[in-house]
Amino acid sequence: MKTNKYLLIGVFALFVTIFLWAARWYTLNQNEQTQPAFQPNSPPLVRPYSPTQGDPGAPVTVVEFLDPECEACGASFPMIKKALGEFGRQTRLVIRYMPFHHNSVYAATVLESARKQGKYWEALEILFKKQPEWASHQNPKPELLPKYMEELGLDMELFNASLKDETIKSKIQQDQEDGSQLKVTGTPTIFVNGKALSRLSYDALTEAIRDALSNKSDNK
Amino acid sequence: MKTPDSQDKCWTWLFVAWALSLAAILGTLFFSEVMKLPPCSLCWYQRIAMYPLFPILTVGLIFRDPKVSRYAWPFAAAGGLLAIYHNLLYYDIIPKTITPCTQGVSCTERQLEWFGVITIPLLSLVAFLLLATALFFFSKTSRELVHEN
Repeated sequence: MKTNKYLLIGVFALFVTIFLWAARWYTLNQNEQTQPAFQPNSPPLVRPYSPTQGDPGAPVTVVEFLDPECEACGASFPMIKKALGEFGRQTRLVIRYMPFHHNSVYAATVLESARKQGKYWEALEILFKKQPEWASHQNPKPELLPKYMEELGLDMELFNASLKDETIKSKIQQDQEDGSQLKVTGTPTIFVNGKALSRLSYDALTEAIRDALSNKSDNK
Repeated sequence: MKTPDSQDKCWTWLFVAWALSLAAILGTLFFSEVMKLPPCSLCWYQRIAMYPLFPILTVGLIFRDPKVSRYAWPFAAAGGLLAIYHNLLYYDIIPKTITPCTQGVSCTERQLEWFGVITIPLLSLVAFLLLATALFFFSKTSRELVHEN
């Protein structure tokens, strides 16, 4: 004698239907409860010390929580730059750190040290570009980072002194605390005028920027 | 010789265990995929114990295999023990210093608390206990069928 397969299939289908219905209800409910609007240009989203690119008075502020050692951050950075480039002076980019990997804090310190010599964005490009060399999870080589900075033309004496700078460490720590407060659980996490981007794609980002711009013009 | 009525009862117990495992799997997926609550490492170990139970019990039910509990017990027992350990940690009965989690989500972080009592580790423990109970009654009522085979 065998079990009634239709009963099993029926119960299975019922459970899965309940699951899908609950998932849909939950997602819709979450979207309705508009996220707590974080002020786009003030803490915890933006700190005055954060690396910034673009017009300070731009109507849209895009904040990216990134980890220099994170592959997705490296892969998505050109897309983010392209999306922002499309809006010209209407957007500005603010970088915050959310270190999740073994050498992330060190890499962020390297970036901040390069920033002291006015080469932040170049250093960030190099770190992302050379990720396969220094940030392999099986065989990380953080010792390569100073070499890259040397190639970039940094004054290595100043650079080495910056690596020990306590203010850099406290800034990175502050970024982490702010990230936790903003419920940043992965990198890259992007906020467009205080609203977290739910999907990481060129279209989602440009759409969020357009929305933010139209909200601004509506409020005027 | 068992009566058809008591035979039916044994398959009902297996069916209850099967439904429980399905509900537990969908519940864990709801927490991680819909509510986006990342599972801690102990939750992962409990998932490893819970997830195989569903296919094992499905095959057991379809072919009415009275021996299926032999294959299900190791998973239910391992999951239950892990759930007990997780709850002991979670409710501070075992000191947190010996928590095996290092990175990622802490196994003692309170991510969810419904009505002030219902937590994820507690739900897991209840699921494994109910499953073990259903399997126990199935094993008990199916014993004679095993001998017949």
